[in-house]
Amino acid sequence: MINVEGITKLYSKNRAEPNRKGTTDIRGLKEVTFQVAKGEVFGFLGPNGAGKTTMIRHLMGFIKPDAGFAQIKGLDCWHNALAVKRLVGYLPGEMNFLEHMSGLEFLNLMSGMHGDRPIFRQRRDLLRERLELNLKQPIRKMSKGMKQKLGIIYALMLDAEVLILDEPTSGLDPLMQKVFIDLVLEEKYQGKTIFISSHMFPEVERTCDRVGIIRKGELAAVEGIQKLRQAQSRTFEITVEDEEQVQLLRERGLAIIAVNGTGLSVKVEGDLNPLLGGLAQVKVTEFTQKTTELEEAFMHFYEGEGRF
Amino acid sequence: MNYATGLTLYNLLLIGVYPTISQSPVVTELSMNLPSSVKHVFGITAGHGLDSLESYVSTQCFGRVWLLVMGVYTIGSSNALIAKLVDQGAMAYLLSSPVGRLEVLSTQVTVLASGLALMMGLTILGIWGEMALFNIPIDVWSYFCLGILGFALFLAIGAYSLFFSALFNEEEQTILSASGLTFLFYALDIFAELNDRFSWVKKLTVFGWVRPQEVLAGEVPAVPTLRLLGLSAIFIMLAGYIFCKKDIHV
Repeated sequence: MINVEGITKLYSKNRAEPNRKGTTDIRGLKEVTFQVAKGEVFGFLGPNGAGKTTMIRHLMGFIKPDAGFAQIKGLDCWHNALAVKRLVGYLPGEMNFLEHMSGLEFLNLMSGMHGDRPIFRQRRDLLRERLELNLKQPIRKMSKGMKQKLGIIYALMLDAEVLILDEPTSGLDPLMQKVFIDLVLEEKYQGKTIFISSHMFPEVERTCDRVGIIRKGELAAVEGIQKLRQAQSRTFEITVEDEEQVQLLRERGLAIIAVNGTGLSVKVEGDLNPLLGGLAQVKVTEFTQKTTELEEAFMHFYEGEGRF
Repeated sequence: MNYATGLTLYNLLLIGVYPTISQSPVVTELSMNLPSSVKHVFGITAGHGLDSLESYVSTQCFGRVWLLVMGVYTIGSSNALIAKLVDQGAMAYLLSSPVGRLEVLSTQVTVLASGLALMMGLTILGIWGEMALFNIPIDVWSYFCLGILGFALFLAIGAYSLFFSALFNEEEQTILSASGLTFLFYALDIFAELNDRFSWVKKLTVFGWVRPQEVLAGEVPAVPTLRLLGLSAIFIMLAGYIFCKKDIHV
């Protein structure tokens, strides 16, 4: 559905940095290539200034690539920008609207510009309810989170085949992040193709099928989320009833890092089942996972500790 | 809208004090004795004293303050219509819809032109109303012509401001270049008036093409109006070309 081939966009050092996020080390994109299949959720992960937004500008036809091309459903994103935009629902990374309007006026304007189909209104009202946003409020009086919700309503109400979301959960509280993730999963089950850029791991981990990791304008890796999960090591803190049971677990050949009375730290790489099998034979009083998740794998990557 | 109300009230004040000024020998004497260069800078052109209402209206109502307010309004709108939207990011929404860049731009041009037409219309209506209020007879037609000419003048200024607005990604650069060029034109206009040897300089500036006093004296300003409209069209087309081709970092 989305096909990006060798996209390159270089900004010369003398020119004022066009990326308003204000980082100095980014110089655009270098030969970025990836594909996103129909019905797939693709996460585009990287720190601020790595080139995520630049990639999205290419997909939206806002800027012209120096080399390579981006296509959506076979249409070139720069040369066929208008046709591409009929297919795409877009959530910009920065929430700056036409300030003098109310949320409702803004959405009406935008649905007018998209050809005003009746489904826009139905979806808008459903989304408004799910996200609990008062659309009558003037935009300039909205908080950052409320503007983010308005942007999400705009992107999702269009019922577009392809969704391009730039850091969609920034500014949302945890409850709303959960609502957003549910919304994305619902869209995914309806067969939408979704491209999410993010520097936040949970939203990517819970929604994406595959993740592309971008660093200093270069796509460092594209991995399935399952593989990413498996490759990372996780540490579990387990407390069992007595020391006999500790001994029982030791005998199962688990990678036990530390033992403290009836408490154990177990490191698991990949498959969880050996650990679960062992735990089935003992009485567990406490079980916690040290928060590593994708974040740790990601940090390793950035620290240059090799691939996953 | 606020701009237009302010200008109308300002004109009301000016016209309201006209009978007092024109009958005051002190003021007449003062204006006669001013060095001609000072008169030029303050917009009192030789040969037209304060004795006729037309010259008074053209120097005062369409004088420096009016030009300044209209200039600020024109450049401000042109900036707000493109560069500000790009700089702040709201343009991303407009461009994310299947409406082409050219169509977005022509909408903005329409907004600019109708805003200017409204400002000009209110200024002229204001003058008509104020004249009626003070029972001063005027030539309605020539004021109408002046309104059209003024609209063309500011459309031209708006057009090159819009061109800068499309050219630059940032508001500061847009405002600086648009107001810089406008000020240069204006300075050239005054410079040309100061010395007859440099009167040809007037032809180089958009302000030089506009002679309110002659229009109010009955001349129909067809040529300068067309010239200004032509200039506007050129800059609007250039703005459209650039806006459609360039990278927009929103």
